[in-house]
Amino acid sequence: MTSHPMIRKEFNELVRTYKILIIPIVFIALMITQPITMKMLPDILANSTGLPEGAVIKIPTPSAPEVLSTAISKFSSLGTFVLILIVMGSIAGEKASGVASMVFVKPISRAKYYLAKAITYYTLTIASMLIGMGITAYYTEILFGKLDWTHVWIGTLMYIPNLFLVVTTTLCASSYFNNAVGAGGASLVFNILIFTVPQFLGKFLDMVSPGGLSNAAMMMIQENSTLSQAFITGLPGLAGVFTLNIVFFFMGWYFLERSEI
Amino acid sequence: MPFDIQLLAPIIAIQLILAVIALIDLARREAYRVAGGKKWPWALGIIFINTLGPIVYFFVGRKD
Repeated sequence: MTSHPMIRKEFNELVRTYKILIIPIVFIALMITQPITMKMLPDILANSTGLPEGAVIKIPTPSAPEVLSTAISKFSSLGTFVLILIVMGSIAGEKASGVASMVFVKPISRAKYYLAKAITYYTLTIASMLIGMGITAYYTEILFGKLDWTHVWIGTLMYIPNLFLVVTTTLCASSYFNNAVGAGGASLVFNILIFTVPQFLGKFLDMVSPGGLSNAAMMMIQENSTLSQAFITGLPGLAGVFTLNIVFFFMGWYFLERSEI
Repeated sequence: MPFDIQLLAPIIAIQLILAVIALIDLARREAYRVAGGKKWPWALGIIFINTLGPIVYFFVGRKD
Protein backbone atom coordinates (compact mmCIF):
# COMPACT_ATOMS: atom_id res chain seq x y z
CA MET A 1 0.00 0.00 0.00
CA THR A 2 1.48 3.31 0.96
CA SER A 3 4.42 4.01 3.14
CA HIS A 4 2.48 5.71 5.87
CA PRO A 5 2.01 3.31 8.81
CA MET A 6 -1.35 4.72 9.94
CA ILE A 7 -2.87 4.27 6.51
CA ARG A 8 -1.47 0.74 6.42
CA LYS A 9 -3.08 0.06 9.80
CA GLU A 10 -6.46 1.28 8.57
CA PHE A 11 -6.09 -0.77 5.41
CA ASN A 12 -5.33 -3.91 7.40
CA GLU A 13 -8.39 -3.18 9.51
CA LEU A 14 -10.55 -3.04 6.37
CA VAL A 15 -9.18 -6.38 5.18
CA ARG A 16 -9.59 -8.01 8.60
CA THR A 17 -13.24 -6.99 8.94
CA TYR A 18 -13.96 -7.92 5.29
CA LYS A 19 -15.23 -4.38 4.73
CA ILE A 20 -13.08 -4.22 1.62
CA LEU A 21 -15.13 -7.04 0.09
CA ILE A 22 -18.55 -6.29 1.54
CA ILE A 23 -18.85 -2.67 0.46
CA PRO A 24 -18.26 -3.16 -3.28
CA ILE A 25 -20.58 -6.19 -3.25
CA VAL A 26 -23.33 -4.33 -1.41
CA PHE A 27 -23.01 -1.35 -3.74
CA ILE A 28 -23.26 -3.64 -6.77
CA ALA A 29 -26.25 -5.43 -5.25
CA LEU A 30 -28.06 -2.17 -4.51
CA MET A 31 -27.60 -0.79 -8.01
CA ILE A 32 -27.87 -3.86 -10.21
CA THR A 33 -31.36 -4.78 -8.99
CA GLN A 34 -32.76 -1.72 -10.74
CA PRO A 35 -32.07 -2.73 -14.39
CA ILE A 36 -33.17 -6.29 -13.57
CA THR A 37 -36.51 -5.24 -12.06
CA MET A 38 -37.08 -2.80 -14.92
CA LYS A 39 -36.47 -5.61 -17.39
CA MET A 40 -38.72 -8.07 -15.57
CA LEU A 41 -41.46 -5.57 -14.71
CA PRO A 42 -43.94 -6.80 -17.37
CA ASP A 43 -43.45 -10.39 -16.18
CA ILE A 44 -43.86 -9.42 -12.54
CA LEU A 45 -47.06 -7.50 -13.27
CA ALA A 46 -48.42 -10.28 -15.45
CA ASN A 47 -47.93 -12.77 -12.63
CA SER A 48 -49.32 -10.61 -9.86
CA THR A 49 -52.71 -11.64 -8.56
CA GLY A 50 -55.86 -9.58 -8.41
CA LEU A 51 -55.80 -8.33 -11.99
CA PRO A 52 -59.12 -8.62 -13.81
CA GLU A 53 -59.35 -11.12 -16.62
CA GLY A 54 -58.07 -9.76 -19.91
CA ALA A 55 -56.25 -6.75 -18.50
CA VAL A 56 -53.72 -5.40 -20.96
CA ILE A 57 -50.53 -3.90 -19.60
CA LYS A 58 -48.40 -1.85 -21.91
CA ILE A 59 -45.18 -0.41 -20.57
CA PRO A 60 -42.84 1.32 -22.98
CA THR A 61 -39.32 -0.04 -22.70
CA PRO A 62 -37.18 2.65 -21.06
CA SER A 63 -33.90 3.58 -22.67
CA ALA A 64 -30.61 2.47 -21.14
CA PRO A 65 -29.61 5.93 -19.75
CA GLU A 66 -33.01 6.33 -18.08
CA VAL A 67 -32.66 2.98 -16.35
CA LEU A 68 -29.16 3.84 -15.16
CA SER A 69 -30.22 7.20 -13.73
CA THR A 70 -33.08 5.59 -11.77
CA ALA A 71 -30.53 3.09 -10.47
CA ILE A 72 -28.51 5.95 -8.99
CA SER A 73 -31.58 7.54 -7.41
CA LYS A 74 -32.60 4.19 -5.88
CA PHE A 75 -29.07 3.77 -4.61
CA SER A 76 -28.90 7.12 -2.84
CA SER A 77 -31.10 6.31 0.16
CA LEU A 78 -29.98 2.75 0.93
CA GLY A 79 -26.38 3.47 -0.04
CA THR A 80 -26.27 6.34 2.45
CA PHE A 81 -27.55 4.02 5.15
CA VAL A 82 -24.95 1.34 4.39
CA LEU A 83 -22.11 3.88 4.32
CA ILE A 84 -23.18 5.25 7.71
CA LEU A 85 -23.28 1.71 9.15
CA ILE A 86 -19.74 1.11 7.93
CA VAL A 87 -18.13 4.37 8.99
CA MET A 88 -19.96 5.02 12.28
CA GLY A 89 -17.78 2.76 14.40
CA SER A 90 -14.49 3.88 12.94
CA ILE A 91 -13.51 6.38 15.64
CA ALA A 92 -16.28 5.97 18.23
CA GLY A 93 -15.80 2.21 18.36
CA GLU A 94 -12.05 2.57 18.88
CA LYS A 95 -12.63 5.13 21.61
CA ALA A 96 -15.05 2.76 23.37
CA SER A 97 -12.84 -0.32 23.08
CA GLY A 98 -9.67 1.50 24.11
CA VAL A 99 -7.81 1.05 20.85
CA ALA A 100 -7.71 4.82 20.35
CA SER A 101 -6.02 5.44 23.70
CA MET A 102 -3.46 2.76 22.83
CA VAL A 103 -2.75 4.53 19.55
CA PHE A 104 -2.38 7.95 21.17
CA VAL A 105 0.15 6.67 23.69
CA LYS A 106 2.54 6.39 20.78
CA PRO A 107 3.86 9.58 19.19
CA ILE A 108 1.06 9.81 16.65
CA SER A 109 -0.79 13.08 16.39
CA ARG A 110 -4.57 13.06 16.35
CA ALA A 111 -4.51 14.87 13.03
CA LYS A 112 -2.63 11.97 11.42
CA TYR A 113 -5.04 9.44 12.95
CA TYR A 114 -8.05 11.38 11.67
CA LEU A 115 -6.54 11.97 8.24
CA ALA A 116 -5.59 8.31 7.79
CA LYS A 117 -9.17 7.24 8.58
CA ALA A 118 -10.64 9.83 6.21
CA ILE A 119 -8.28 8.89 3.37
CA THR A 120 -8.94 5.16 3.67
CA TYR A 121 -12.71 5.54 3.75
CA TYR A 122 -12.71 8.04 0.86
CA THR A 123 -10.62 5.67 -1.25
CA LEU A 124 -12.87 2.76 -0.39
CA THR A 125 -15.98 4.79 -1.29
CA ILE A 126 -14.59 5.92 -4.65
CA ALA A 127 -13.43 2.44 -5.59
CA SER A 128 -16.69 0.74 -4.57
CA MET A 129 -18.84 3.31 -6.35
CA LEU A 130 -16.81 3.07 -9.56
CA ILE A 131 -16.87 -0.74 -9.47
CA GLY A 132 -20.60 -0.85 -8.72
CA MET A 133 -21.48 1.71 -11.36
CA GLY A 134 -19.22 0.07 -13.95
CA ILE A 135 -20.81 -3.34 -13.49
CA THR A 136 -24.35 -1.93 -13.39
CA ALA A 137 -23.75 0.16 -16.51
CA TYR A 138 -22.29 -2.83 -18.34
CA TYR A 139 -25.29 -4.97 -17.42
CA THR A 140 -27.71 -2.20 -18.39
CA GLU A 141 -25.98 -1.98 -21.74
CA ILE A 142 -26.49 -5.71 -22.28
CA LEU A 143 -30.17 -5.55 -21.33
CA PHE A 144 -31.31 -2.21 -22.76
CA GLY A 145 -28.87 -1.14 -25.46
CA LYS A 146 -26.11 1.39 -26.00
CA LEU A 147 -24.79 3.77 -23.36
CA ASP A 148 -22.42 6.68 -23.69
CA TRP A 149 -19.65 5.79 -21.26
CA THR A 150 -18.20 9.31 -20.97
CA HIS A 151 -21.54 10.52 -19.64
CA VAL A 152 -21.74 7.57 -17.28
CA TRP A 153 -18.29 8.06 -15.75
CA ILE A 154 -18.55 11.84 -15.43
CA GLY A 155 -22.03 11.51 -13.92
CA THR A 156 -20.71 9.00 -11.39
CA LEU A 157 -17.79 11.26 -10.52
CA MET A 158 -20.21 14.13 -10.02
CA TYR A 159 -22.27 11.99 -7.67
CA ILE A 160 -19.29 10.85 -5.55
CA PRO A 161 -18.93 14.12 -3.52
CA ASN A 162 -22.37 13.34 -2.06
CA LEU A 163 -21.04 10.03 -0.74
CA PHE A 164 -18.00 11.90 0.57
CA LEU A 165 -20.37 14.15 2.49
CA VAL A 166 -21.95 11.08 4.11
CA VAL A 167 -18.51 9.74 5.08
CA THR A 168 -17.33 13.12 6.39
CA THR A 169 -20.41 13.80 8.52
CA THR A 170 -20.32 10.28 9.94
CA LEU A 171 -16.62 10.64 10.82
CA CYS A 172 -17.41 13.99 12.44
CA ALA A 173 -20.25 12.48 14.51
CA SER A 174 -18.02 9.50 15.28
CA SER A 175 -15.34 11.71 16.79
CA TYR A 176 -17.92 13.65 18.81
CA PHE A 177 -19.86 10.72 20.29
CA ASN A 178 -18.35 7.99 22.40
CA ASN A 179 -20.43 5.11 21.09
CA ALA A 180 -20.96 3.98 17.54
CA VAL A 181 -24.75 3.81 17.63
CA GLY A 182 -25.10 7.41 18.79
CA ALA A 183 -22.75 8.56 16.06
CA GLY A 184 -24.63 6.58 13.42
CA GLY A 185 -28.01 7.89 14.58
CA ALA A 186 -26.89 11.52 14.62
CA SER A 187 -25.32 11.17 11.20
CA LEU A 188 -28.41 9.47 9.78
CA VAL A 189 -30.71 12.24 11.00
CA PHE A 190 -28.37 14.90 9.67
CA ASN A 191 -28.04 13.26 6.27
CA ILE A 192 -31.79 12.80 5.87
CA LEU A 193 -32.25 16.50 6.69
CA ILE A 194 -29.50 17.76 4.37
CA PHE A 195 -30.67 15.62 1.45
CA THR A 196 -34.41 16.37 1.68
CA VAL A 197 -35.00 19.76 3.29
CA PRO A 198 -33.10 22.22 0.99
CA GLN A 199 -35.39 21.57 -1.99
CA PHE A 200 -38.20 23.36 -0.11
CA LEU A 201 -36.08 26.36 0.80
CA GLY A 202 -35.89 28.16 -2.51
CA LYS A 203 -34.04 27.89 -5.78
CA PHE A 204 -30.57 28.93 -4.64
CA LEU A 205 -30.33 26.58 -1.67
CA ASP A 206 -31.68 23.77 -3.82
CA MET A 207 -28.94 24.39 -6.38
CA VAL A 208 -26.06 24.28 -3.90
CA SER A 209 -27.42 21.35 -1.86
CA PRO A 210 -26.46 17.68 -2.23
CA GLY A 211 -29.89 17.02 -3.74
CA GLY A 212 -29.14 19.52 -6.49
CA LEU A 213 -25.83 17.79 -7.15
CA SER A 214 -27.46 14.37 -7.49
CA ASN A 215 -30.05 15.85 -9.86
CA ALA A 216 -27.24 17.23 -11.99
CA ALA A 217 -25.45 13.87 -11.92
CA MET A 218 -28.65 12.11 -12.99
CA MET A 219 -29.11 14.63 -15.79
CA MET A 220 -25.57 13.90 -16.91
CA ILE A 221 -26.25 10.17 -16.99
CA GLN A 222 -29.55 10.60 -18.83
CA GLU A 223 -27.65 12.10 -21.76
CA ASN A 224 -30.36 14.59 -22.71
CA SER A 225 -27.91 17.49 -22.54
CA THR A 226 -24.37 18.00 -23.70
CA LEU A 227 -21.43 17.41 -21.38
CA SER A 228 -20.70 21.10 -20.78
CA GLN A 229 -24.36 21.99 -20.15
CA ALA A 230 -24.78 19.27 -17.55
CA PHE A 231 -21.49 20.23 -15.97
CA ILE A 232 -22.55 23.87 -15.60
CA THR A 233 -25.81 22.77 -13.94
CA GLY A 234 -23.81 20.72 -11.47
CA LEU A 235 -21.25 23.41 -10.67
CA PRO A 236 -23.14 25.17 -7.83
CA GLY A 237 -23.94 21.77 -6.31
CA LEU A 238 -20.29 20.74 -6.47
CA ALA A 239 -19.21 24.00 -4.82
CA GLY A 240 -21.82 23.69 -2.06
CA VAL A 241 -21.10 20.05 -1.30
CA PHE A 242 -17.35 20.59 -1.23
CA THR A 243 -17.79 23.50 1.18
CA LEU A 244 -19.94 21.33 3.46
CA ASN A 245 -17.33 18.57 3.23
CA ILE A 246 -14.52 20.91 4.29
CA VAL A 247 -16.57 22.41 7.13
CA PHE A 248 -17.48 19.02 8.60
CA PHE A 249 -14.00 17.64 8.04
CA PHE A 250 -12.43 20.36 10.16
CA MET A 251 -15.28 20.22 12.68
CA GLY A 252 -14.64 16.51 13.20
CA TRP A 253 -10.92 17.15 13.56
CA TYR A 254 -11.66 19.83 16.18
CA PHE A 255 -13.96 17.45 18.11
CA LEU A 256 -11.26 14.78 18.08
CA GLU A 257 -8.59 17.19 19.35
CA ARG A 258 -10.90 18.34 22.13
CA SER A 259 -12.25 14.95 23.19
CA GLU A 260 -10.78 13.25 26.22
CA ILE A 261 -9.42 9.81 25.49
CA MET B 1 -43.61 -18.02 -16.33
CA PRO B 2 -40.96 -17.08 -18.89
CA PHE B 3 -38.19 -17.12 -16.38
CA ASP B 4 -34.80 -16.03 -17.59
CA ILE B 5 -32.06 -17.47 -15.40
CA GLN B 6 -29.39 -15.43 -17.17
CA LEU B 7 -31.16 -12.26 -16.13
CA LEU B 8 -30.86 -13.16 -12.47
CA ALA B 9 -27.33 -14.58 -12.67
CA PRO B 10 -25.55 -11.52 -11.19
CA ILE B 11 -27.89 -11.36 -8.19
CA ILE B 12 -27.43 -15.06 -7.54
CA ALA B 13 -23.65 -14.69 -7.85
CA ILE B 14 -23.59 -11.77 -5.39
CA GLN B 15 -25.76 -13.68 -2.94
CA LEU B 16 -23.50 -16.75 -3.17
CA ILE B 17 -20.29 -14.74 -2.69
CA LEU B 18 -21.69 -12.96 0.36
CA ALA B 19 -23.00 -16.18 1.90
CA VAL B 20 -19.71 -18.04 1.36
CA ILE B 21 -17.62 -15.22 2.89
CA ALA B 22 -19.98 -15.02 5.87
CA LEU B 23 -19.98 -18.79 6.41
CA ILE B 24 -16.17 -18.97 6.25
CA ASP B 25 -15.91 -16.16 8.77
CA LEU B 26 -18.48 -17.86 11.02
CA ALA B 27 -16.71 -21.21 10.83
CA ARG B 28 -13.35 -19.74 11.84
CA ARG B 29 -14.77 -17.78 14.77
CA GLU B 30 -15.13 -19.04 18.33
CA ALA B 31 -18.69 -19.16 19.66
CA TYR B 32 -18.10 -16.52 22.34
CA ARG B 33 -17.11 -13.98 19.71
CA VAL B 34 -20.50 -14.23 17.97
CA ALA B 35 -23.49 -12.16 19.11
CA GLY B 36 -25.80 -14.34 21.17
CA GLY B 37 -23.05 -16.84 21.94
CA LYS B 38 -24.36 -19.52 19.61
CA LYS B 39 -23.26 -20.16 16.05
CA TRP B 40 -26.05 -22.25 14.53
CA PRO B 41 -28.77 -19.52 14.40
CA TRP B 42 -26.39 -17.32 12.43
CA ALA B 43 -25.59 -20.16 10.03
CA LEU B 44 -29.33 -20.67 9.38
CA GLY B 45 -29.81 -16.92 8.88
CA ILE B 46 -26.89 -16.66 6.46
CA ILE B 47 -28.06 -19.58 4.37
CA PHE B 48 -31.82 -19.00 4.29
CA ILE B 49 -32.22 -15.20 4.32
CA ASN B 50 -31.22 -13.85 0.94
CA THR B 51 -28.50 -11.18 0.86
CA LEU B 52 -29.74 -9.51 4.03
CA GLY B 53 -28.69 -12.45 6.21
CA PRO B 54 -24.94 -12.24 5.46
CA ILE B 55 -25.00 -8.42 5.65
CA VAL B 56 -26.70 -8.41 9.04
CA TYR B 57 -24.18 -11.01 10.21
CA PHE B 58 -21.27 -8.84 9.11
CA PHE B 59 -22.59 -5.71 10.81
CA VAL B 60 -24.24 -7.08 13.93
CA GLY B 61 -23.23 -10.70 14.38
CA ARG B 62 -19.52 -10.34 14.98
CA LYS B 63 -18.05 -9.21 18.25
CA ASP B 64 -14.39 -8.21 18.39
